[in-house]
Amino acid sequence: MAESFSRLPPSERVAALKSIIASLSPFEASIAKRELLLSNGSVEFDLIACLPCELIHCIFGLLDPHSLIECSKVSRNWRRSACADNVVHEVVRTAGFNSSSPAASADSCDDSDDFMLRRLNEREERWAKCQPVLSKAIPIVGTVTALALSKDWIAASIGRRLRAWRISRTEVCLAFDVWTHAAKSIAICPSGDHLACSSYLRTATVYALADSSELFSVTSPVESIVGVDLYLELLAVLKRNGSIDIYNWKQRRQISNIHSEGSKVSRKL
Amino acid sequence: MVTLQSSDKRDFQVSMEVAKQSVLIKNLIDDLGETEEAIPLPNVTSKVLQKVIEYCEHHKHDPPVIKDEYDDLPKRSDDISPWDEQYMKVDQEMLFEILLASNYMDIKPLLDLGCKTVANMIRGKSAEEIRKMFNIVDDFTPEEKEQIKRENEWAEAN
Repeated sequence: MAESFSRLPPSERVAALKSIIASLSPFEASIAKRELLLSNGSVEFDLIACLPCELIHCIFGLLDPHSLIECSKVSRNWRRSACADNVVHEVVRTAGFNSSSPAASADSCDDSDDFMLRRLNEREERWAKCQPVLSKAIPIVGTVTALALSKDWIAASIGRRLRAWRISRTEVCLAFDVWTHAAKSIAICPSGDHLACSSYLRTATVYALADSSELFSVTSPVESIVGVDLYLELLAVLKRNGSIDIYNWKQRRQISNIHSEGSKVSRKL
Repeated sequence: MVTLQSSDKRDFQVSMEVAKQSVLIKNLIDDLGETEEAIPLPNVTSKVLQKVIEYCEHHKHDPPVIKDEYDDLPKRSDDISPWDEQYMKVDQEMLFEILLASNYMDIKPLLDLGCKTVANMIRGKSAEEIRKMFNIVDDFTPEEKEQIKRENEWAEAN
């Protein structure tokens, strides 16, 4: 085969090469890429350049948003893979999943698997909707530390900005944008009027989505706040020791504290 | 027993449960019935096949992965067992070969393990560190560099 190739007149060699390349399986193409790279003395082995696309997407999909952004700065080849829609979607999905609100963690103590499943499915549907926004948002921003979704909103803490986009049938537009400390968790009120976030500074704050105004703030000097959830006038704050404080943020007072009864919180709210 | 033949014509005798972890081989055996003849794997060299068999031997008693069950949940990459971690301590070329072979032979857990291993190599590193580790040449034009810098500017300023 190699011999007959070398006997071809120069004019036919390129055409022959093209037809060989077209007939390669993904596996053989990877080997060919590797051999080409290795035969070029100046370049050493670049694992990622040789792997088939689907495997690179699989690998990048396992990263956190910050690492993915670093990957997008490595080379043109890496940038193409790191910015692929399905990669960004998977990374954002994982980041969002890991920033689950206390209601979600309380639900997981609940026996009702059905409820969890429904919640997951709803989440999945919304992810599909918000993908265009996030594809745009992720490559240009810093670390996404928390995400939240509701029927009409998606909120994200990116670097030191807390942003929320309104999701309509036809588009997603940025409608809320405040400077804050990186958020640990975000919750959006089911009515779509308010948003709460807990920050790495151990505070929890409620905002109005309509005009970005700050309505209420909990600062807990002793214990750190690890999560928040919001329902109408109530704000639930999950602390590191597992207890949950519930505030009526409109009346600016604490109404109860639940110890190790996490599973009941969502129902009470 | 099943005989597997590598691309360089070396035969490997393995038990059925070891061989069937490869969906490619499992389907072949299910379709053709058990055969005395060696199953040729033209895309896998003996060096790599030996390594892959080592994995399948160790994991032959693992419960089969039920598809779809975990598809909904995001994948994690911090759940690698100590044996798997030790197994994956190979150079990048071998890692590459294992990824390709497990993809070709359709051994999902091994493919996942390979992907996780590479992801863990990348995670938490700066672009420059990544270039060094994978011998990558920075091929952005000055204009593209400027654009990337602009895109990341406000994020880094904070």
